[in-house]
Amino acid sequence: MKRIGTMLVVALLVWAVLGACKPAEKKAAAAKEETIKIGHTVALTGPSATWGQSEANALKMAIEKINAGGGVLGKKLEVIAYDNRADRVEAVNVAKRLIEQDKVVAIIGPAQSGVTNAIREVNNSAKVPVIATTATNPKVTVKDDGSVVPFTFRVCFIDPFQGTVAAQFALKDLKAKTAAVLYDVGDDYSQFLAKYFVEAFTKGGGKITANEAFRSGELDFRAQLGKIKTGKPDVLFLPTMQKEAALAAKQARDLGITATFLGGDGWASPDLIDLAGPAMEGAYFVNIAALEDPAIQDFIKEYKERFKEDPVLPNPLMAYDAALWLADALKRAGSTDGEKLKAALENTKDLPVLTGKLTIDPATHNPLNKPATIQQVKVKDKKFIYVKTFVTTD
Amino acid sequence: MFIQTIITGLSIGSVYALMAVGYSLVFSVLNFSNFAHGAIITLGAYIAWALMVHYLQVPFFPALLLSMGGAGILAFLNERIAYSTLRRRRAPSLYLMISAMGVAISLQNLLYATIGAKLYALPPVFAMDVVHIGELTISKMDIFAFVFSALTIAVLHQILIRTKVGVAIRAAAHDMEMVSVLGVNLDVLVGVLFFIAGSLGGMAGVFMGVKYMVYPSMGWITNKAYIGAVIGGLGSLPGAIVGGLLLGLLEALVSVSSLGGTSLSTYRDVFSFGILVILLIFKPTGFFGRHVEDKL
Amino acid sequence: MAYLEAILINVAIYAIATLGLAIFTGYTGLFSLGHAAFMAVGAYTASILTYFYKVPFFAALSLGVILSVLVSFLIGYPTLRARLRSDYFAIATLGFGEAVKVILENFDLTQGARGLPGIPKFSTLGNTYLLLVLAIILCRNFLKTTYGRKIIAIGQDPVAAEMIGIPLLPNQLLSLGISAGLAGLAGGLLAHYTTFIQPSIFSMDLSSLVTAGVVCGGMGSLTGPVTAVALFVIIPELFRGFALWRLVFYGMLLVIIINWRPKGLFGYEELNRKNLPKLFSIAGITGGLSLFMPTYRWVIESRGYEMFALFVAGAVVGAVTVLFGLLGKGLSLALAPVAERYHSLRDRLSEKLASSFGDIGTAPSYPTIEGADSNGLKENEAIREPILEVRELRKNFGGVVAVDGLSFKLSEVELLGLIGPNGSGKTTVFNLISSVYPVDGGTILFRGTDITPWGPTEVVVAGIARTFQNIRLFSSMTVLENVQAALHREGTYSLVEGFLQWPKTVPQVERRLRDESRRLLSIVGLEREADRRASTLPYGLQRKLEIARALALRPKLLLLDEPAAGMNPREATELVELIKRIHRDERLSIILIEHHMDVVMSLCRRILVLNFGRLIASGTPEQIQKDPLVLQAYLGEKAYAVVR
Repeated sequence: MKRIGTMLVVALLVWAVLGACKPAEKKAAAAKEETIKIGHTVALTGPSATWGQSEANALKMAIEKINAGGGVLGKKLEVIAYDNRADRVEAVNVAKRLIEQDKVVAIIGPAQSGVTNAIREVNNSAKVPVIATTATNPKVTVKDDGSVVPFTFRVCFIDPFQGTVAAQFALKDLKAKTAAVLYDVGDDYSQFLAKYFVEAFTKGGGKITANEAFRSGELDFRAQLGKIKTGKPDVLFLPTMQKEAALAAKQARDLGITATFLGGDGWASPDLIDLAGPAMEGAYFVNIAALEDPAIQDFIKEYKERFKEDPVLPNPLMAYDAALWLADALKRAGSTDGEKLKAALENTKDLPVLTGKLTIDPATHNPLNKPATIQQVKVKDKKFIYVKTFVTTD
Repeated sequence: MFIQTIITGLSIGSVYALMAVGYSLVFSVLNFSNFAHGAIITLGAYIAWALMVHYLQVPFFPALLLSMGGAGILAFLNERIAYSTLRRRRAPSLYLMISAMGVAISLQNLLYATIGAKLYALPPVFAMDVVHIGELTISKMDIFAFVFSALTIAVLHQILIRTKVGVAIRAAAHDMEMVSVLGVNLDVLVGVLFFIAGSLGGMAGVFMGVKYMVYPSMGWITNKAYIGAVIGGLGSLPGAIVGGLLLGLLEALVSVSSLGGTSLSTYRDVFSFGILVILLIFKPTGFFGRHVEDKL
Repeated sequence: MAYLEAILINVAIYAIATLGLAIFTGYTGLFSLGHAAFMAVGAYTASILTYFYKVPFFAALSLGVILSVLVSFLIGYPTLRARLRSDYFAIATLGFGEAVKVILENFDLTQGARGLPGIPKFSTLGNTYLLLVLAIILCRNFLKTTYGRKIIAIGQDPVAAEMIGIPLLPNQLLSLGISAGLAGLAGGLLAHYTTFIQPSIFSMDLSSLVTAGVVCGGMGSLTGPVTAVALFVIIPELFRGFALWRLVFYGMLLVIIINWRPKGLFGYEELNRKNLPKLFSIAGITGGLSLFMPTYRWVIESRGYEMFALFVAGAVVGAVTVLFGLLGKGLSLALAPVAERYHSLRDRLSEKLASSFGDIGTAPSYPTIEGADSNGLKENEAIREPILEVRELRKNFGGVVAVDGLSFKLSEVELLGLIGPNGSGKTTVFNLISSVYPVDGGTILFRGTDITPWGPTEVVVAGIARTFQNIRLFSSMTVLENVQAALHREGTYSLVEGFLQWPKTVPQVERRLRDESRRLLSIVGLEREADRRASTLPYGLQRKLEIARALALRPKLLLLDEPAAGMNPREATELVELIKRIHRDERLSIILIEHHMDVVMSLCRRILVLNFGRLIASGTPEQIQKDPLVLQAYLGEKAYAVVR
């Protein structure tokens, strides 16, 4: 036994020496030039991954374009992306890593309101600006006392607007007189979007017949839907992510509910159609942008050529706009210092971005004058079609 | 609305009941709570997905049968790897339960790590067909699931009563040692037992996948099914069915109730787990379960 | 370095939680799958106080701890009182864990399921490690006190623990409270480190992580679980890309350990000189693994040869492990003489302390036969009053009648034999007297008082002790500790003093208990085996230990159940001498169940014979040997007919 052992050791040693003597591939030593590091916290896996992957792709495109144009402040931009799985705890870890280890000057993302809220303390105490892509809940940038969250920004519209759009569409275009709501009590986005819809719908003269909630992760809503059914609503508003919306739609139809389904930008992933099947035929939802929008056709063409598939809107657009905004702000700030960058971001006016001109309200860090589109789900054609761009009457 | 709620409750309850039967079957013979059952159910759903959507286009019925078989085999392997050593060593049932938990955690996260957390839908069977009875609607899928489960359990019942294997299982439920003394190969017996329990689990997984979706943490819902098994009495098959249905009903009723103006739908799980705890404290044998005294 | 700090703080936090669970699950033997609920209570309480009310950190943490303890009593009392079997109990804790989580999700103040961000970051490397060290010291102190021993006894064998007068419920609650408090502390520290909490953090996964730490580390050790949990936190960090595989790894580890090495890493041992190499090897593996990725990358970059890189990296890991292992071995050998000197120094120091603080704790009142005792039993005047009287005792098990209207009297200081064929109900009689089972009919009078409705611990306090047919020792405790455990009523310091190992009271009381235990061991002749693990004793000596333990209860009545079982003739003779001695010296009343006829006949002047739960004969050994009914019972009717 001992001899075999010694032989084995000798053999291993010989192999090691031979390996050391073999001609080695010379790896091109990458010239480590200095870059400006930008963090990207995004859901690359999990139910929100369809948006997240698209977002990451678009951001890559945007940064390459910016670098091709000379970069910012004489340096190239570098994106460091980590998967947050749309999970709040994971996002906190990711934020810490980006800030403390990778030393990013700013972070693009997250895409979810709850997640952006979760990392608020982390990036604000470190004075690193965060530009959320599709976080629409107002509390993301404005605290309960009305003061602004200093280092958190967003590039999309906010839910009071989205809720109002949905309500007015229901009242005016769908001619609905009654509506019911089913929302996720464990999600900032869902809970508040439901609230804004209810407010706007009631204000516009409609009647809310039921306002039901479920726990995050729930799969069976038939008890709540049964209750909703008795009110015979014209419209059923489902301000949730695509998974719950799909299940709820299926179950609602199973129970014989004939209401028109209406949702928010959480529906906008293509797998909504796969998951819901015929139940979602003809449903409507509010979105930040639509594929048919003439203003963004160039972007879509470029994306399709590069990545061989349609971008999953609206995230890639938002990330692209965020990158443009950040680059511009860095230039105006003249440095990567947190405070200076913050000031520059706040004072952005009429900056040309993909979705129009970006003007920021310094008191709320929210973009002004953002439009919303209404899209309709066409299951048979497996796509979302553009219905209209909505302008609020307020 | 009340009757519709009852129907909804029975529909959810029948899923619970099917899963609970798997638990009780194993418990009746081996006297431990097999927490890995949830993972087997999940894998059953994934097998169906692989067959029906991802790799092939197998139609529903054959896919269902194949998934049941696959899940049964996995359950058999599970027993061999994680439980047989402990069983032979007469380890306390707590150890078996811990081993089961280890398997459950591994398998569920293996799915996350390999296939990923993406959700998948199984192709809709019976499309959107529903049956209308006046104001009430019942989905055809539910009817099919109910009938098929009932048939399978009836077949199981016959197996237990008429076949040699079935009799051996029932005997083992009373006294494992005696059965082995009488010449029954315990390893084979337990293997068959797990195969049956696993198949039932696989079936439940496929039905859940069609009804809802396929995703890695499907197994969590079996915690609820477990509560159903406890209500009915662990170790009793009729108990599992009654308990599962009862739990589904109770949950549906709680979900539509309010207490002083606040809807109780989000508190539903407090009720379910509360029932579990109260039962364990006051009547761990549930409605139909056996009382197993520790030898002093 | 911030990254390293993050890992270390996480290790400390989880270690504190695991420490608590080690006491509850590891030592007391109660499996909890819902301890994350206590972490949640601690986390939420402390966070609400610091976030909304600006309460200072340590005050908030303390209140979190207190609330966790209170919640644990609320949950623990009904559950423990129900005396569920271990897996049912575990499931009940799981149910509680989930229920607490749902309740928190509906709690609006903290935004329910959406979570509470913006908690001030008060946890630092300094204060978490300070608290960890404090927790370790307190736990170690606790386990060395009477309170700790009671809990360990319960964990080893709850039935035996009750039989030596340790009530289960209050002690289990104490253990639960300690573990919940530590979990609450960990939760509070966690919240103020991650600055964001939501109910879903405190999931079954978290509970399983901590429980897995205890199982894999070793149930019966503090070092083991802390080490295991540290590994659980550190190792996945070393393989960052494999984060999702971490839980797969835990699950598999759990299965492997429970199947093939249920003792876990450290079994029943704490860190000492002998297992230093083990700890070093573990550190070595971890250190090696941390070098795996960097080495791999470095080799790839400089040589670009993948297989070679894997090999080198693996070799580095192996080398570091072996190196550390050798280092540990060397260190442990080198420390041997130092250890000797340290131990003798420590013993001398505690002696000095003990004597310098005077005579606290000498001479408690050892209850003697004439002394009054705590349960208000009537004093016996005449020495011939029966000390025990059994009237019409009845017990059924299902349809089987085990004891059928048995009546007898035992006089003080009498040595009564109880014999009968197998299944005649002898052990059941003992079980009824010592209240293991409730009676179905009849009365038991001890020193004139009706003790029929009393519980097992009350019976012990009254002065009845017993041994078991199948020996029930506390196998992982030493011989000395087994006896010490039975002296728990004489450990007269408070819990707080115990936690602090208060020098004024604790060392003296402990020394007294140790001395008394040695004395009892010397009565049975086991004084030289004092420091052996009870499970390593040969069978005959285990029996003697059981007797010593029973004597420690200061009984007036001793029930010996087949003490000579499995003994060879020489051992049996020794046993007879021992019993004679203790009967005489301690002036005990004894009932002896035995099958060894020579033992019974030589010891007992009066013998009762049972058959089918009924008394069929009573008399002197000579009378019994000739009694036809007795012979018939033992030989069977047909054989008797032949013998006659």
